[in-house]
Amino acid sequence: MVKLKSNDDKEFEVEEAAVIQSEMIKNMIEDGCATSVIPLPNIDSKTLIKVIEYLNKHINMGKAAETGEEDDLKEFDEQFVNMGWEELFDVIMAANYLNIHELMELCCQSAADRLKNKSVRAVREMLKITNDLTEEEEQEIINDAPWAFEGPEIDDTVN
Amino acid sequence: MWNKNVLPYLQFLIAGKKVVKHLEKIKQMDLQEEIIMDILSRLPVQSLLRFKCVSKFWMTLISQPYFTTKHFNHAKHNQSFEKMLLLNKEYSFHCSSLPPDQLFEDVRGINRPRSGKLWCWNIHCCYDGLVLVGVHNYPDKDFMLLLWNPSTIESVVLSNPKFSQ
Repeated sequence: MVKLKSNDDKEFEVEEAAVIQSEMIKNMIEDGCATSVIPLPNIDSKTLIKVIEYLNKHINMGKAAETGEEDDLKEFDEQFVNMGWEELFDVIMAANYLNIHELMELCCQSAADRLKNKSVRAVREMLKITNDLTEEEEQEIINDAPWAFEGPEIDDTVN
Repeated sequence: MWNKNVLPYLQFLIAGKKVVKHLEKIKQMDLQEEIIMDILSRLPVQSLLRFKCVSKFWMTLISQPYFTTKHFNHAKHNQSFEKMLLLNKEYSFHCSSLPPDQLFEDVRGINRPRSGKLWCWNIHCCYDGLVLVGVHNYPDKDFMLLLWNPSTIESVVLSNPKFSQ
């Protein structure tokens, strides 16, 4: 078992087979640096719980193909990314820090799918971006490709 | 009482802490930039052209060649980014996305300089998502070569090449 500590001082025990899906922790274990608790100063407990849930489910990913559990795993992934936008971004940051390639792929693709049809206004709100373009600059971008700003699929809702 | 020599050292320490904090902030921003780029590189071109309007930073990010290459490399290995060129009897040509399990949607024509009516055209070659198109216009049948990007529907006229026989 490997012990992980979140930045709000909560400790979690994870099976080594699960936790080595994180390249970062795998390297630490190989270098003999994981003898006691591994502090994760960038990850809060709420996010870490989600990451551990993913690691535990994906523990035998290689075996899933053999035993026909691939669909089960796919269903889990679909359910897993069904979370709030900010929560998803926290998991992405954690996956990036821990270097968990599959989790990073899953969450970044989910973020892209959510952004794909969003309006400019909705994207600004979702990512808390302040618009610093002048009206003229904005109009120029629209004039360059007006077709990119039209269409019934463009979604102005924030979620 | 403070030794006079300690003061510069203390100031250095305080300044050092500030620098470290500042560096951490920059690191955090770089990280976010890298992640935003990863997410954006998965989006269709239509969304990206729209999202140039989000902010100056996004406009610069989406326009830079590094991002274009990243996006192209992602699209190259992704079936949902495949495009099909549609050739039509009425001498028009269009590009459509090629969704594996849907009807054709998103059919777009080419933006070409409007100098007379299109008379005939032919595709010379396709490379890295760009198409080289030869166009003859009505009525004077003048010829021009266009480099067409079907994803952005932009095209540029290439200067008339003179080949030696």
